[in-house]
Amino acid sequence: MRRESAPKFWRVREQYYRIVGVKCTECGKVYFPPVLRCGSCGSRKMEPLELSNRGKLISASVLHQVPAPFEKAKPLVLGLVELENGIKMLAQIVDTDGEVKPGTEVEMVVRRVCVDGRYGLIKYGYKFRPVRART
Amino acid sequence: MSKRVMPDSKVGIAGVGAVVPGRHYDRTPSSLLAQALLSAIDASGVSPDVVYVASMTVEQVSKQLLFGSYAMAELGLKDILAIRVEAGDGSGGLALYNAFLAVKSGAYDCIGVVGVDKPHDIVSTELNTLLSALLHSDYEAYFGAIPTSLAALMADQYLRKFGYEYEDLAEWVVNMHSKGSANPNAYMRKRATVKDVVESEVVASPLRLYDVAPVADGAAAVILCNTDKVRTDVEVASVYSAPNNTLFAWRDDLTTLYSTRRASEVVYKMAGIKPSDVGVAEVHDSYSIFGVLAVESLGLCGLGKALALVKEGYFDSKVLINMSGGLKARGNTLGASGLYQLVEIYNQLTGKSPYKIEPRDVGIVHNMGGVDMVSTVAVLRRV
Repeated sequence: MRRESAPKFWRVREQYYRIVGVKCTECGKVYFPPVLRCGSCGSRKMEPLELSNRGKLISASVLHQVPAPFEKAKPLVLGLVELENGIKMLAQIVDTDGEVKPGTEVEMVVRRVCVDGRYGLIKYGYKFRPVRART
Repeated sequence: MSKRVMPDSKVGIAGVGAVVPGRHYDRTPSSLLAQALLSAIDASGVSPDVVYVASMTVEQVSKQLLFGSYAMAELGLKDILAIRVEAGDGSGGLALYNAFLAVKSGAYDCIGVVGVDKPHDIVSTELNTLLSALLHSDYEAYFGAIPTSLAALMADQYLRKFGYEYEDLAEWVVNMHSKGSANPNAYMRKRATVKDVVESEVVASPLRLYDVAPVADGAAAVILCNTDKVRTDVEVASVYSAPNNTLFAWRDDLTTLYSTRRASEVVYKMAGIKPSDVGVAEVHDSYSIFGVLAVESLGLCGLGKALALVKEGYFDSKVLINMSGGLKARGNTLGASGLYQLVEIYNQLTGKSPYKIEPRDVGIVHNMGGVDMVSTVAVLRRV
C-alpha cells in the first residue's frame, strides 16, 4: 500500500461526512459533488448546501473483485442513490444482509471506508443503509 | 469562437503494425511500441514527421515520464517529437483524432500514431486499483468502485428496461468468443457457450467473469498521411472525439453512451454516410454491456434491439461487428485498443485480415475512454 497524503481527504471532509454540495445562486440547480461553475446556466456563484441524508436506491451491484485496500471488506455493494431532493449519488450500501432491491429506502451513515495499514491513515466517508436496519 | 479556415487535406492510412496481444513479460513497453511502429513504418514505406503516443498506464507501470521521448531515443529517431495523449482506455482514439486534425490542417504530411500498454507489468492484485483510476478519484474510486461496478449498474438498467434476461447478454459474449476463435492473433481463442458464461463467477452483479474483457499487453500503430503526398489504400474519411463530461450519478439514462452518440453523429455527417452504410465496425466492448450499448448508440441498430439481433446473427451478416473478437476476445490493451481497432478495420477493408471476412467498403472504429467520458469514432473507406 502506498503512503497517502492526509490533506487530499481532509479538505473534502464536509462532503464525506455531511454530504455538502452546492446550489447555484442564479438558477437554483444543486450539485454533488460541488462544482465551480453551473453547467446549466453558466453562473460561477455557488453556495454550499447540505443535502438530505435520506433517499431511495435506484440500482445496486455487488462487487466481488475489489481494489486491494478493500480486500478485507469484500464484497462491496455499490449503488446509485436518489436523495429526497432529487440529487443522485454513487455510494456504498451497507447493512444489507444480502439482496438489496431498487426502491429500498436508505439513510446516510458515516463509516470507515478503508485503512492504510502501514502508515495508519484511516479514511471515513458516507455510506447508505436500508432504513429498516435502524434499531 | 469562429472556426479558422484550414487547408482541407485528405487523410489516409499508409501502413499499420501491431504486436499480438498477450503477457509479454520479457518485453519492455518501449520495445512493444517499437515493434508496432516500425512494422507500420515498413509497411508504409515512409517516415513520420511526428509520433503521437497513446497509453493509459505507461507512466504508472514503468515509473517513467517523457515515455515517448525515451522510446524515440531507443529507436534512434532523435529528431522526432513524441506527443503523449491520455484519455484512459480511450487514449488511442483521442491520439488518432489529434493526428487526423494535424494532417488535415496541413501541419504535417505524415504522422505515426502508436498505442502501448503493459498491464501485466503490475501485480494482478493492483490491477483493480489501476483500473479504478478511470473513475472519479474522490467520489467513485475512493469508495471502492471500479469501472466494472458502473458497467454492472448500466447492465442492470438495460436488462430491466428492455425486458432481457442475463442469458441474453451472454449471447454477446458467446458471439465475441466465436469470432475470436477464428482470429489467430486474438488473446482468447477458445469458444464459449451460454452455459460457460452463466456459470462463471459473479464479478459485479449481474456481470460475470466472461462479461469482462481480459487485459493484455500490446502495442499497435498506424501511419496517417496526406493522400496528396503519400499513396494510401484506406481513406480516413472522418474522425471525431466527443465528450460526455457528466459524472456517472448525474446521468439521466444509463442505457445510452452519450459521448459515443455525439461522436458518431458528427462523423457520419462529415463523411456523408448514414449508419446503414457501415459495413464493418470494431466497437469498444471492454464489458459486454458496453459493446451492446455501443452498437445502439452508434445507430447500427435500434435502441434495445442489440441482444435480440446478436442472437439472430445480424452482427455477423448485415453489419459485421468485432470480427477480430473485440476487446473481449482479441484482448483489452487499454490505451492501445483504439489503434488495434484501427489496424483491424484497415486489414478488414484491404483484405489483409488473418481471418475470413466478407469484403465491405465502409468501416468504423469506436473507442471509449472511461465509462462514457469520451468517445472517438472514425469512418474509414477502402480506396
